[in-house]
Amino acid sequence: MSESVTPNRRARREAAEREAAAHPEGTRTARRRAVSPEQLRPRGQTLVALVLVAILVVGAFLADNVIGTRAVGAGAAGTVPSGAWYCPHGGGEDWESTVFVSNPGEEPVQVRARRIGPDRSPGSTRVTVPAGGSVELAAAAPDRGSATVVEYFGGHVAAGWVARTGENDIGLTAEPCLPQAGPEWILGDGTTEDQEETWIVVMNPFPGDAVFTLTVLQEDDPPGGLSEWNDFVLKGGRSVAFRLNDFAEGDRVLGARIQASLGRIAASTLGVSKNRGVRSAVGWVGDPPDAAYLPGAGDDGTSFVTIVTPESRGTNFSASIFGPKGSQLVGGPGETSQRGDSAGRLQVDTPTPSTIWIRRGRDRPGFLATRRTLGTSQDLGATTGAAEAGPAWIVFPSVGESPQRPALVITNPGTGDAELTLTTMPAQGEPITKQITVRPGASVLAPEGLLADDPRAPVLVSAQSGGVVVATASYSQGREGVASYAVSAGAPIDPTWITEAG
Amino acid sequence: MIRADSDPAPAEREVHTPTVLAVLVVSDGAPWLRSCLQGLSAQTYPRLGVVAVDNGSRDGSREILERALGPRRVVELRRNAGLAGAVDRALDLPVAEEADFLLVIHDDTALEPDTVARLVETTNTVERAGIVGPKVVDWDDPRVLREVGRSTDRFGHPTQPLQDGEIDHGQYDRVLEVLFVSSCAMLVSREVWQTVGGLDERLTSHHEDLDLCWRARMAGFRVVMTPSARVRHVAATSSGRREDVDRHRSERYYGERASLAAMLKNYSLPSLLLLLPLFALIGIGRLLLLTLTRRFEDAWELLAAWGWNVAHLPGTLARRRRSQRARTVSDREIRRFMESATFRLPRWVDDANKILAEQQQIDEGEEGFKVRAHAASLVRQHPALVGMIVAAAVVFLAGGRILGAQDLGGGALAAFPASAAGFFRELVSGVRTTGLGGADAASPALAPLGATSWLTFGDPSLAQRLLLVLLPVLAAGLLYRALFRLTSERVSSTLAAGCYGVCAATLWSLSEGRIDVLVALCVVPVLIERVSAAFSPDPPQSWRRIAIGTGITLAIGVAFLPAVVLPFAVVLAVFALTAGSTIGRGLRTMLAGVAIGAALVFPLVPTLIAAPGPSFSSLIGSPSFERIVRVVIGPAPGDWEVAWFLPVAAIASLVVVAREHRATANRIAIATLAAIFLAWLSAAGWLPAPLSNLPAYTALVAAGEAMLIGFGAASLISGGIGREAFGARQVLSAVLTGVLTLGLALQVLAASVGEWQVRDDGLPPAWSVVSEQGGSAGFRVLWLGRPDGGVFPAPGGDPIGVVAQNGASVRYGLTGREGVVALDTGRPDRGSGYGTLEETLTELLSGQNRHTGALLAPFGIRFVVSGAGDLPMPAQQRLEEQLDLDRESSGELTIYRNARSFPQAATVPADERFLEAAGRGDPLDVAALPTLRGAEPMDPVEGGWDGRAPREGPGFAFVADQFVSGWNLEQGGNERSASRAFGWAIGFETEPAPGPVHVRFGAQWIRTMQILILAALWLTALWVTRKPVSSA
Repeated sequence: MSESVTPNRRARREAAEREAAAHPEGTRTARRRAVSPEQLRPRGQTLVALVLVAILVVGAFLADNVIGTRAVGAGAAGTVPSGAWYCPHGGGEDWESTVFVSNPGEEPVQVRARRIGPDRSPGSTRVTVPAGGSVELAAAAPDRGSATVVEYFGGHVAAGWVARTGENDIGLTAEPCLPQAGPEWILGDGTTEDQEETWIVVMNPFPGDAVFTLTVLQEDDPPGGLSEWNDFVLKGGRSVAFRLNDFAEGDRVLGARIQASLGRIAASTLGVSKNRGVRSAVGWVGDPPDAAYLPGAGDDGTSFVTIVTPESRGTNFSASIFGPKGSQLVGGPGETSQRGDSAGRLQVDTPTPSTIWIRRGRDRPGFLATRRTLGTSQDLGATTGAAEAGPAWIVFPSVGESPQRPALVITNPGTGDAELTLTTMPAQGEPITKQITVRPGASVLAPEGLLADDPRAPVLVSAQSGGVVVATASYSQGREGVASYAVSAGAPIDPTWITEAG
Repeated sequence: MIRADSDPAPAEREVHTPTVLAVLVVSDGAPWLRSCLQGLSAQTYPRLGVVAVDNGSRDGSREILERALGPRRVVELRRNAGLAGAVDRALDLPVAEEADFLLVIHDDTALEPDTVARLVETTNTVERAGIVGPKVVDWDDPRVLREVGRSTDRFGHPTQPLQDGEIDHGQYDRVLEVLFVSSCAMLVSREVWQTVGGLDERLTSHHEDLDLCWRARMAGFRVVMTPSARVRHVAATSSGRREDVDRHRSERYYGERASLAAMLKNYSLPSLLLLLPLFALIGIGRLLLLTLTRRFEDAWELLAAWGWNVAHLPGTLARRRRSQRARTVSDREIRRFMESATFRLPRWVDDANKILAEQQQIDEGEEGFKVRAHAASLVRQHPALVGMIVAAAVVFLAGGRILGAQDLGGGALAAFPASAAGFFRELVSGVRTTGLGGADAASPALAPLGATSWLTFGDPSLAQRLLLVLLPVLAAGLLYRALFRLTSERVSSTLAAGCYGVCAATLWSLSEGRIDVLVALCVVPVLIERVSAAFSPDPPQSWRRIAIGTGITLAIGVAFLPAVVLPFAVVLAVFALTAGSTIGRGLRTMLAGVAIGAALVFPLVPTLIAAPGPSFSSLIGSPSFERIVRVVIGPAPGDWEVAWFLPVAAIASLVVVAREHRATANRIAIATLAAIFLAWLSAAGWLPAPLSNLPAYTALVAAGEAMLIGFGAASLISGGIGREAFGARQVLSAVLTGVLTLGLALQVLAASVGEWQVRDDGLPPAWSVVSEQGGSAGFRVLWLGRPDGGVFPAPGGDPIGVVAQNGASVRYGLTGREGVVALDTGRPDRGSGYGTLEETLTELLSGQNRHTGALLAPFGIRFVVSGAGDLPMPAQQRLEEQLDLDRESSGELTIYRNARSFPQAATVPADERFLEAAGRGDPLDVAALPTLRGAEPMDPVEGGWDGRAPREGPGFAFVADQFVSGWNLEQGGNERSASRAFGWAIGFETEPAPGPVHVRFGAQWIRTMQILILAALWLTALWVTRKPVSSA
C-alpha cells in the first residue's frame, strides 16, 4: 500500500519502544542517558587521570634525561677499499713522465692508470702492485697539460711522479700525486721573470664537465686573469695547462686561485725556464692551511718561499728552520706580513738538509707556501711540502737518469724523538729496512745505504713515535752532467694502510 | 452506523452537494481498521458513500468490514490486487458511476469527522483542484506531522519538506499546492480519473499516488493539500507493523521503480532526452556508492528496479501515450513543484541557511534568545549534519588548494600511475615493477586505489586529490561512528570527530600527502571499537560479525600501512589484560579477526612475515614526548602549541567520564599512554625495527585522545553538569568547553590558512635535473640524508633504512624517476638487492671506497640526491670524493650524477671482465669495471623487457631487478633461464646472434591464482558483512 517514506529512524525508535516495553527497567539507550550526578562524581576518575598524567610526566622526564636516544651504531668498515691519485705533472715535447705507485699493504692491489691531456684519453693501463712493492708507469707526456689518473682497487696505494724533460727543456720535476680533487685550489711558486714560464696544469679526471675560473694573484697588482679563463669548461677526462705569462709577464712571484662552479679538478704548477730547468709544485685544495713544512736538501743555502694569500684579508706569519742541528727562528710573529689576494716571496738561507716551517699569526687567515730550491746546478726544484707532520709517509724518488744522488730528508718538528722505520719499496728486488731516530726539531738525511742499491725505490716511512715530514731532494744525470735536480715531498698515508699489511 | 449514500437529504440535493465515494482499501489491517471505520462513520459530510475492498486479508479484516458495512458494501478479492487493483474494482461498481469524487483511504488511516467535508470544500475554493489531500499526522502522536503534500526531485524520487518527528505548530496551515499527495487519504475528482485514468496497477501499492498526481497536473488539474482536513496514519506497511506477504522487495526498489516509470510516462520527450542521461549517470554513481559501502542488496534492488522498467517498457509507453494526450501543461510548469536538485544536499544547505538567517536575526537584535535556542536545538538534534556542514567548510577552505592543484606534488606524496589501469596491472603482476623489483606481491590496497581512479573518470590525479581531501573527513566520520556505537551520544561523538579531524596528526598526514597514514587514521578508531565490542560483557553483535568486521578493517589498514597491526596489538593487549571474565571470548574473537584479516591480505602476509622490519617500521618522527602527546609527527599546519588542546581536553574528559563509560575510557586511556611511550621508544631507536613506527602509534594516540574527549563530553551531556552546586565538575566542564572551543577554532584556522607540503608544483625546481633526464631507459634515484626522523625532499618519500657509520650515518631511500609511487603502498622494500645496496652505502660512508658510482651502477642508480644541508658533513665529503659521482646541482637539492650507471635493463657485449664481475658479484670486480660501452637499453613492455642482442659476439642481458626464478630470455626461438647477476640481479648470457631478445616472467600464473582467491575472499567477506537492505 502506498505510504509516506518512513525513515529508518522511526523504525529504530519504534524498536526501542518495543524494547522499552519488554524491559521496564530501561532500554540500553535509556540506561546510557540516565546518568545520575553521582555517576559523574569524578573522585576515582581524578585519581586515574592523575596517575596516568604522573606516569606520562615521569616517563617523559626519564626518557629525556636518563634514557635518551639510542646512538646510531658505529657501522662496519669498508671491505672494498678503492681510491685514486691525481697526478697533474704536465709535460712537453719529448717529455716522459713516470708515475710511481707503491703498495704499503700486504695484499696486491689492482691499479688502473689513465693518461689524460687536452684531447680524449687513449685508454687505460691495468697493473697489479705487489704487496710492499711498487710499479713504475712510464709514458710520454707530450703536452703541458698532460696528467695521469691512478685508480686503485682492493687495497691502498700511494703515487708520485717524476717528469723528465725532452730535448728542448732542461731538468726534472717530481711531486707526490694528489689524493683528492675539489672545486677550489690555491697554487704558488709562480714567476714570469727572467725567461721563466709558469703553467697551471688543471686536470678533470671525472666523467662530467668542470667549469672553473682561474685567477692570478700578484705581488703588487690586484687579482686578475684572461677573460677566457673565466668559466672555462674542461670536459670530463681531460687536462689542460694555462700559461700565466699570457696575463702577467715579468712578475717575480705569482700565485693562482681556481674556483670551480661545476665539477671537481686537481691542479699543480709547472715552471719551465730555459736557463733554470723545470719544477713542479702541487696545489692545495680547499681552505688554505695554517702552516707549511717545506723540506729541502742539497741546495746552495738559499731558498725562495712563495706565499699566496687567497683571501681578501691579509695575513702575517712567522718562520722557523729545522736544520741538522735543531730548529732556529728566522722570523717572529708579526714580523712578516702580506696583504690579501696576493702573492709574495721570502728569501731564506737554509742549511742542508732543512725544513722551513711557516705558520700564520693568531686569528689570521691561512695561506699557501711553496719552496723553490735553487740547488747547486741549473735545475730548480720546488715543493708544496706538507701542512702538518704525520706518522706514515711514502716518499717517492726525485731522480732521473743514472748516475743518481738520492737524498731523503726527514724532519721531526715535534718535541720528542721520532723513532722511524724506513723501508724501501722497490719495483724489483728485496726491500731494505732501516731504523733511525730523529731528534726533536732536527732534519736529517736517511742512512746512505738505504737507497744505494736502488735510488728509484720509493720509501715507506713509518713512525713508531712522533710525527715527521719527509721529502726527497736528489740530483741525477741531466743534459749537462749530474745537474738535474728535483724535490718531492712525501705523500702522507693512513697508518692503517700499513697495519693492514702488518 | 454507516450513513446511507443512496438517500441524501432533500436540502442537500438542492444545493448540488457533490457525491463522494470513499473506497477503503484493506489488507490485513485489523489492528487499525476499527478506528478507520469509526472515522468514516463520524464524517459530517452528507453525501458520502463507502465501499470497502478487501485485498485478500487473512486477519479477520473482512469480517470486521462486513459487520460494519454489511456484505453488500464489501468487495472481496482473493489475492492482493494492490491499491490500484482495489480502486479499479470499486470503480466498476454501479455506485461509482454516480460519484463526483473518489476518496481513496487506506485501512490504517483514521479521518477526523470533518475531513471529507474539508476536502470537498477545498475543491470548491481552489480552481481546478483535481486531487486534494489532507494534513497527515502520526497515528500514535497526532502532534507529529507525517505529510503535508510531497514533491520529488527532477528524477521522480519522492521528497518531503518535513523533518523527522517534526511537531505540528501550524507551520503548514495553509492550502499548499504540491506535486502529489499521499494515497492514504486522497480525494480525486471524477474529471481527473476520466481524463488521465486511474492508478497504475503495475506499481502494486507503491507510489502510484505520485504517478496519478503527476498525470493530473499534466492535464491541468491542481493537486493541493488542505490543512483543515486532518487524518491520522500508521504507515503500517513501510514501518513493518503490517506483515505484507506480497512485499518481497525493499522500499528502495519500489521507490526507484515508480520514479523511473513516472519519469518515462510523464515527462515530455525533450525533457526525457535531457534527464535520462543524467539519471543514468547519477544512477551509476549511486550504484557504485552502494557497492562501495557494502550495501550490495540495495545496489541489486536498484538494478532490479531498472530492470523492471526495461521489462515493462511497452506497457509504460502505452500509458505514456495516453497521459501525453491529456497534457495541457508543460513540464516547466510542473517542475515548479519539484525540488530543484538531486541528492539531498540542497536541504542540508537549507539547514545551514536557517542557521545563518537566524544568526542574522541575532545581529539585528531581533528575538536573539529564540534564535540561539533554535540553533542550539539544531546542533543537538542534527549534530552529525552540522558537523558535516562544518567539515565541508573546512574541506573547502583547507583542501581547496589541493583539490584545485593542476600538478600536485610535494611532501611525501606518492605518485599515482598515469591511468587507473596502472594500479590493476601492478596488482595482478607476478613481479614487482617498482623499487628493486622482486616477486613480492602488490598490496590489495591497489584495488581500491585503482577503483577510485577509475571512478574519477579514469583520472588518477583527481582520485589522488579527492582521497587526500576526503580521507581526513572519513577518518573523523569513522571515529564518530565508533564513538557513537560506544556512547550512543551524537553531539559528543561529533565533537570528538571534529577534534580528530583537525588534530595535528591528521593535518600532518594531509599536508604530507600520506594516503596510507590517513587510512590508518581511519581504521584505528574502528579497531578500538571492535576490540571494545569483543571484550564487552554485553557485545552489541555476534562474535562472528565482530571478528569479520575486525578482520576486514584490519585488512584494509594493513593493505595501506602494515604497521596498523602495532596500535591494534596495543589496544588488544590492554583490553585483554583488563578484560576479566570476557578475556576468553574476546581473545577468540580477536584471533578470528586477525586470521580473517590475514586471509584478506594473504599475498602480502609472506612478505610481512619474512621481512617484519621493513614491513612495519618507519623512520619518521623525532623522540619528543611533548610532540607525541600533541600528536605532532612532523611539520604541518596545526603543529603549533595549540595542538595541546587535544591531550589537555582528553585528560579533563577522563576525569568527568561517567561510570558506565569508565571501563572503556580507562582502557583507551591506558592504550593511549602505552602508545605514547612506544612512539617515543620507536623514534629513540630503542625498539626492534618491527615494532618501531611512530606514525602508527601516534594514530592510536590521536584516536585515543579524541575518544576520551568523546566519552567525557557524552558523560557531561547525558548527565548534565548539575545546577544545584558549583564544584570540580563545573570547573572541568568550563575548562573543557574553553579548551575545545579555542583549540578547534584555531586548528581549523591553521588548516585554512596554513601551507600544505603538498601543493601545486610542489616539487623542488632542482628536481627537473632528474625528471627531465632524457632517454627512455629507466633509472633509479638514491636518496640520502641525516637520520633525523625526517622525510626526504619531494618526491623522495620516506627513508627505507639507515646505514650506520659514526658521524657519517645516513638514512636512505630508493625511487624511480617519478619519485615515490603509490604502487608500493603497503609493500615493504626488501630482498637481497637491498642488502647489497646497504653494503654499498657502507663502503661509501666508510671512506675507504671512491668508486661507489661503479658499485651503484648495477642498481641502475643514475642520481644520488639529498636535501640541501640534509647530509652529515662527513657523508657529503665522502660523496664529493667519489670519482664517478659528479655534483650536478645545488639549491634545494644536492644532486650527484652517477657517471657509471647502467640502464635499468640492457644488453651489453660480453666483455670478459664484465662477465666475471656479473657472475661473481664481487664488489671489487664491480668497482674496477671500466665504463660500460656498447650497452643497448631494453624497453619495458607488458610483463618484461624487449631488446636486441649485441651485434657482434656473445652478449649479456641484464635487468637491474632482484633475482627471482621464473625469468626467461627468449632469443631466436630458444629460451634460457635467468641467472644471478652481481649477486642479486637478473642476467642472461645471449647467443652471438644479433636480433631481438625478450625477457619475460614465466610464473605469472601463481599471482593470477592469488588474485582470484583474494577476490573470492573479499567478496565473501563483504557479502557476509553487507549492510541490511535499506527501507529508505
